Amino acid sequence: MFELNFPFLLIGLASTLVAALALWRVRSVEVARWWGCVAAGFAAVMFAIAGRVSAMSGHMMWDPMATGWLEVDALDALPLVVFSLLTLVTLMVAPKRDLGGASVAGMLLILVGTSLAYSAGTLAGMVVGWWVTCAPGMMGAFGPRKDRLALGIQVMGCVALTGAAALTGFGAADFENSEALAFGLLMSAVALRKGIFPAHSWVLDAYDRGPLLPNALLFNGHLGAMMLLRAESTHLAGAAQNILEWVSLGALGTALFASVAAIAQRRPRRILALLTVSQSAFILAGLGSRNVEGITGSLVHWLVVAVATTGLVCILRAVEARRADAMAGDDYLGLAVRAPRLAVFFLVCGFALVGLPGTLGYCAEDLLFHGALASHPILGLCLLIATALNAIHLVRLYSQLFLGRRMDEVPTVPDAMSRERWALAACVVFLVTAGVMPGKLVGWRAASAERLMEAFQGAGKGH
Amino acid sequence: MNVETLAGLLVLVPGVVFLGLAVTWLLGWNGQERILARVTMITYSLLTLGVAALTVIFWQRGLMVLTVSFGNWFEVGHYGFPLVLLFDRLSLPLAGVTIFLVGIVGSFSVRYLHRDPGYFRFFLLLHLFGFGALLLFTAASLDLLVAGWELVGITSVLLIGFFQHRKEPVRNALRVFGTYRVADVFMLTGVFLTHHWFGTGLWQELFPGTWPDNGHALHGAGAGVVCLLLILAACGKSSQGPFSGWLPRAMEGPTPSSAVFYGAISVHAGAYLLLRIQPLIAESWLATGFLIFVGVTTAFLATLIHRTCADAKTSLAYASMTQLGIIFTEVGMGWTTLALVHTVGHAVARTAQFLRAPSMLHDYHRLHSAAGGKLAETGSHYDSFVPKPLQHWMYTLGVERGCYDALLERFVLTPVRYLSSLIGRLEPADWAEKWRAKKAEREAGEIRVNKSGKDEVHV
Repeated sequence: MFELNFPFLLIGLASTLVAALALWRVRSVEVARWWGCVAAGFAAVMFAIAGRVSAMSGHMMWDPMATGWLEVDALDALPLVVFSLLTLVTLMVAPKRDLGGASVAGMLLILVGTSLAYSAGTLAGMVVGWWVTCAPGMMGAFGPRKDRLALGIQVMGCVALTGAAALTGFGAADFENSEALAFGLLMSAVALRKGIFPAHSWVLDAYDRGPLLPNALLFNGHLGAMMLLRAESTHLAGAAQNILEWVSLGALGTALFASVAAIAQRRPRRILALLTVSQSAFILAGLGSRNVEGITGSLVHWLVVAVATTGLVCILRAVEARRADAMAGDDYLGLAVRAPRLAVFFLVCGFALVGLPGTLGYCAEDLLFHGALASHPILGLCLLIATALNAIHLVRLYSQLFLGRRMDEVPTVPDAMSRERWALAACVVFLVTAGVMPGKLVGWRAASAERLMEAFQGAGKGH
Repeated sequence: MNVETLAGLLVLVPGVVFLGLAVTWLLGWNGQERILARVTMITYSLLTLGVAALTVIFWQRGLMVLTVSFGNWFEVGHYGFPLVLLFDRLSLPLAGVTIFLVGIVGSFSVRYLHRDPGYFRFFLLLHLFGFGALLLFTAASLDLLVAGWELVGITSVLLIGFFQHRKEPVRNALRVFGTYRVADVFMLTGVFLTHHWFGTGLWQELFPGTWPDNGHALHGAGAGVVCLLLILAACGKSSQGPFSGWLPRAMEGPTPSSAVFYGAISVHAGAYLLLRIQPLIAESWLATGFLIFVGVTTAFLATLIHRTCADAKTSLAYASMTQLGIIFTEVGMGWTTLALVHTVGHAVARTAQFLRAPSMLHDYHRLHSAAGGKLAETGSHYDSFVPKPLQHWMYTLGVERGCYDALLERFVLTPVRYLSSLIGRLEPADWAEKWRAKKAEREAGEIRVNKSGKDEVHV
């Protein structure tokens, strides 16, 4: 058993939790934003150091003060850091009207819950993480909720996971001998959390009627995918591979369904929600390919979806803060003439999301399609159709928000402010730099994909 | 500098210039016209000299093929994405034409777009296009070709919507992008199936030998499927057959971009792909027949439409389509060298025509005066061979633009929209919203449930 030389994970989590609790009652928006950013940044640094130590040793490492509870390995190291940074980006870009002590604390709690679920060494830890991510919504941290369907489905997902974990004694137990009910519950939990059809509706409801930024953050944790990967590699062994098969088929259906459903939509939030659901379903569909290319593609695509959709959602919210009529999507807004930098950020994040060349999305989708076509040619073809449609929706959304108006018809609005510019530029730089030079990042993800493959093969033999 | 470095730089330099300009803009530079013009002119002058030098080296050394490898872009397990460029008798002329024409168009645009609000955007996209087109023509593998192919598509769409203050160019750009994406599905499926069935995407492994005398290493039914998929992708890019509706819509962009995209480089990308896979096409009677049929029918229809167009750019677009149809037919017939010469000649001549199009009225008046105020009608002797009813029918077909848009709307777009709205009705999130709205109205007393259990609206 290998241990970190310092409790980086525990300190990262605890400091964020303390910041969340301390900020809950703070009234000043700028104070809350500043300390929220500091907490998220500090957590990112702690997780990055832990990940670096683990990568250098080449082993999974336990936190010395939470042995058996918190661990870091090739699979979760990068998502931990990326998610912390995405929280930081969201806090930086969020308009003043969306922030307050409670909402900053809520976002930090989502970070705590997601990081806990990523780094948990046991099912119990994951269950706690899942519940913590839902807690701010249930406690009304983001104001009165209209998206009750979304909240309901999230809670149902947590209940299903808790049930599955309870049936196996909350430990790293073998699911193989447990009842079919446990499998069913686990599958339901993954499908509900990841928004697999018909549970995708919660994402639509959350984006359309709920607080956009926290909901995007919540969805971008992709805890369903992480749960599946952890279960596949550690707890569930051979029998659980059926789950992956079914969930990946469901994900494929969701990707196609959402991309077709988006054609009839006009409201930007709904188009973006369906785009997000469709593209993120690729992650599970790629995991179902069961080859190194497909799984690596999935893991890289995970990062792409998380960063790109965070960028897109932040820009959409920034646009809504500038133009109230942006939510309706009835006509062109023509904002590019007033806010060209926001337009460029939107375009680059969007192109990365749908996998156009020069961005990390291209590399991710190249690997994903190769993997998917190698194992299931029809599955690969469906993904191609879905991504083609998604690209069209993206350009439509861009046109709707940023083009189609003369300068004198567009009221003066500020372009990206400096806090927005730095945060969004970081997303764009990540997507483009990693897209032009993807070797290192793909290599990291390939290492965890190879370990997962070994686990799958071992489980297959055992089964 | 060795020949490999020179060849690599020819492709990379426009990409580096694009990245440099984009980063400096993000850092706050507002893109002064003079600097931008100088950067563009110097870049393309040097690149033109570079490609000329490379051609001379090829000729002097008797080189048939030059490959420039940058290793694998990324690799996972047994799969690697090779970054290899290939210069041969097919790619070198097309790379040369690309550099020359992008330079010409860049030079023309310095004055044509002077003080246009989109001046910087145009040049930024022109450099990205130059990089994408060079990547496309010199890619040594299908995978790398896809990267160039998509970059060309994106820049094309962004430039169609260049006049972003008007709604029509924005709508047309979206329509063109939709067509491109449909064609891209064929392209990507072809590429991935090639990997899946034949284990490689490298041209030299798929088509061993030197162009145009190379063979192919693809056999079986899979080869036929891949061939048809790539032909369909080429049709999409070159506006042929079922994909021919987008080219006139693309004329919404500024004239220089129309020249370089739809007169010169972008539309010939499909022809280039066909020239690459020609040995495979020649093996399959189905692919050959399909290609010739598409080429001939598109050429015939486009020439009819071209004669009924009222504006210069649309007329030129259909004229381009006609020539591309003929080039496709030439490839189908196996006349590869002729097709290459035709491609290069057509690209240069059409660019000149497009760039002169804004001055067409001025040119016409000058010609009119020079001819003493009377210009003889042309083409009437051809008309006399065609019976009047057939003339009328052909004219109607031309004016209706081959009924392409109506057919597309009726049989593709309407059913897709209907399917989407049908799916939208299955959305549980919407049911919940409708239920809540109804509940709210009922509570407000606007809707009451009558005795038969149905809602009754009271206004």
